Amino acid sequence: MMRRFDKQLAELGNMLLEMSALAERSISLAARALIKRDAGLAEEVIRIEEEVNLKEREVEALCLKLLLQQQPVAKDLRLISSVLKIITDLERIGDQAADISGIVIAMDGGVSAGQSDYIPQMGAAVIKMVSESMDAFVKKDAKLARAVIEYDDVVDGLFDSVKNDLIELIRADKANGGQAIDLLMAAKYFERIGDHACNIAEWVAYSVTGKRKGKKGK
Amino acid sequence: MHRRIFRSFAVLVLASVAVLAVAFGLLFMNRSQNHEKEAIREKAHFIAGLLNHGSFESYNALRVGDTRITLISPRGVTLYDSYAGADITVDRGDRTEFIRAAAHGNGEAVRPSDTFGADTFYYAVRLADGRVLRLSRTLNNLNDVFSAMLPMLTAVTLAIVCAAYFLTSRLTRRIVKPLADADFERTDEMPYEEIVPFMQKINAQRQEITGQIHKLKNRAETIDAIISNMREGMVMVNAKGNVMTVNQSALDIFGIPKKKLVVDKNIRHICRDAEFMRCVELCLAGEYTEIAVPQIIKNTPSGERSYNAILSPVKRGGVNDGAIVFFLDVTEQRKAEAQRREFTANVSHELKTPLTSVSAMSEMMANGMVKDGDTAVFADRISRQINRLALVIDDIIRLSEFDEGKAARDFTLFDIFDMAQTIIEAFKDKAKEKNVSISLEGYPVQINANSRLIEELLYNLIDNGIKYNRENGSVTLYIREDGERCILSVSDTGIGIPPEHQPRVFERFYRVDASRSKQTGGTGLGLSIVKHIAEHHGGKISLESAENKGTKIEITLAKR
Repeated sequence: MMRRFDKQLAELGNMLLEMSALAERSISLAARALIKRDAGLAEEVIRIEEEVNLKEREVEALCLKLLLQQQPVAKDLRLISSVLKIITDLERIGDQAADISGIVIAMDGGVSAGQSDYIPQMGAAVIKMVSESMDAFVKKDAKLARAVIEYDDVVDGLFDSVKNDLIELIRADKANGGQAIDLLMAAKYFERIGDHACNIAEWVAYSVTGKRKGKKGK
Repeated sequence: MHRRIFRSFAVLVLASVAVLAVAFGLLFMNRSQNHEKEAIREKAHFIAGLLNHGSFESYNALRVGDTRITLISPRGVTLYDSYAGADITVDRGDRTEFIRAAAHGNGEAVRPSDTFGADTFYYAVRLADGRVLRLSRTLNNLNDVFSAMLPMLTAVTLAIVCAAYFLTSRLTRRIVKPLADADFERTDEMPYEEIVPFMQKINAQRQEITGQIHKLKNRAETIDAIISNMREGMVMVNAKGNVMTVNQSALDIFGIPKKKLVVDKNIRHICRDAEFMRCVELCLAGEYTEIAVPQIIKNTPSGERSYNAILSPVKRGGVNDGAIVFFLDVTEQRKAEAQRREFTANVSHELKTPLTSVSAMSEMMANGMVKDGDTAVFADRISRQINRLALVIDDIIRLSEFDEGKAARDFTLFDIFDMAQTIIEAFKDKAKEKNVSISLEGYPVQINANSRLIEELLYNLIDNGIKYNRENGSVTLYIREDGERCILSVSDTGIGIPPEHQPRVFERFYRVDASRSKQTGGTGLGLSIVKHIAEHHGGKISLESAENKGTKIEITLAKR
């Protein structure tokens, strides 16, 4: 027979994964919306963002309840405090996906001035980071979490490539400036999502190993 | 068992001891009473003799032991009584023994005496003077006998019971031992033949049970083997959506290293895709008999893979009791679908482009918009477009023949070197036009193949070699044999193929540079056909190319 506390912890894990699935879906939809300039998809992302916010509050409430009522120690305490931190990052990821969607909606109707090939790559890279950081949580795999942290460099590199492409776009025609800046913002949001994925991975590594180790040089 | 046997034994022993005790008691009592009576009689006669001769000092001298002596007058009046508490006023003339003694000289009687509360024996003798002497004594009753016997009786009973205990325990052990040691398969060793039928029945049942267990085990093993070896991922969840079983394929698909990371946990731990989870919930709510979730994309080290999930609820007694989820790898299927779509789009494009120009030009001619002098030019253009159309259609038909496995199988023996020479001859003019030299190296090799297809293969390769060449370039054909194989290579000094395009040049309609196709002609199907022809002859094709340096295509064909 499962203890009540264990049941609540299992429920906490479920809720976190549910929230993470929503956040992951919102990034992949936002990336698709940006690539296809699809305002319909973008609106779906904004709808999901509200769900993510609701979920965050639910998980937060459960975390606090467990901390107060059960007074967990050691591994359980690490797990609950990590979850509490992870949901903050997931919520921010949801916000940034919604921000990207906002840009897509604002750009709707305009003639596409071109695109950077690196933007879809950035989208794919951050989706991979978020999804692998949560996979690391499920698998209790600190190594995978560290790999996610390392992968952030790839996303940073892609951001620089996008920036260069957009500079070229402006150089080709100054009229592209508005769109280029919008795209740069979107790329920056992706880059921020990558950073949040890193934070998640760090907290996952902490909950597994008990050691708090940030990225080198940060 | 021992207790029961011992109990029966004990009951038997106690009953027989009791019966024997009573029987002996009665016997002893009878004998001792007779003895006592005899003693009283003798005593009475002795005292009577004394009394008759008057030779005793006082009555008190007559007192012997606990025998009561009474002297009664002929009228029945008590003259003397040795029993202190006796009421001498009582008239004893009516007593049986007195009446008998008075009449016959002596008399006796046994009465439960109210004075003693037990049976009392009375014996009376008539004295010479007519007085009657009566002696009486309380007889030993059963109680007395038993109280005398009791210690002995108890000791004996105890001894027997103890003996019975040990005996029965030994007996029990001896009875039980063959049953406990019984080997149910060897009925001949069983000393109790009453047990043999039971043994046979038990034996038969045991064999049946063993058989059933074996069958069940086999079946479980078979199912286990099927589940663990199937390529599809399989997960069984209970009504709460928690994982009950998961097979290796499912773990592999989702990159979960250990089963225990997900067993007893929500299926979300395996796949948390929002759409998938929505379907799991619908399935567990029992609203569907089967749900298919298309397209779950999973990044793996070997690239992105797509999965379909099929969910079926498990019903027990009409109530939903969980679900079975299958994950099917549809990556190849999707890739093939995408290729087919691309092919169809390409085919329609390739067919439509010449048709559009033909239609436009012929309309212009029909409407008289073309000057008479230009008619010939337009007609020439139309015919060229139609030729191109025919070429594309021809190539497509050829390819579809390969796809359907209907390509010609009539193989003949011929010299491929000879054939190459003839084809090179035919290309002379075209080569001169582009300033490209063609050379043939190697030696004659006989191969068994379809000559028409090999001719087409050579034609396509040389044609490509010339088409994608530069000014003053060269095309070299090299034919040799290597054991049972014929090796044919075509190298050119042309524009080459950039590395990123190399894996795709054998795809249908694939072009390295789409803008050049107009200029060079061709359908984009040439290399694809070459590859099919090579494969049709059990051959292999390889490509080596460096940008702006040239391309070398080598084909290995089986000679027979």
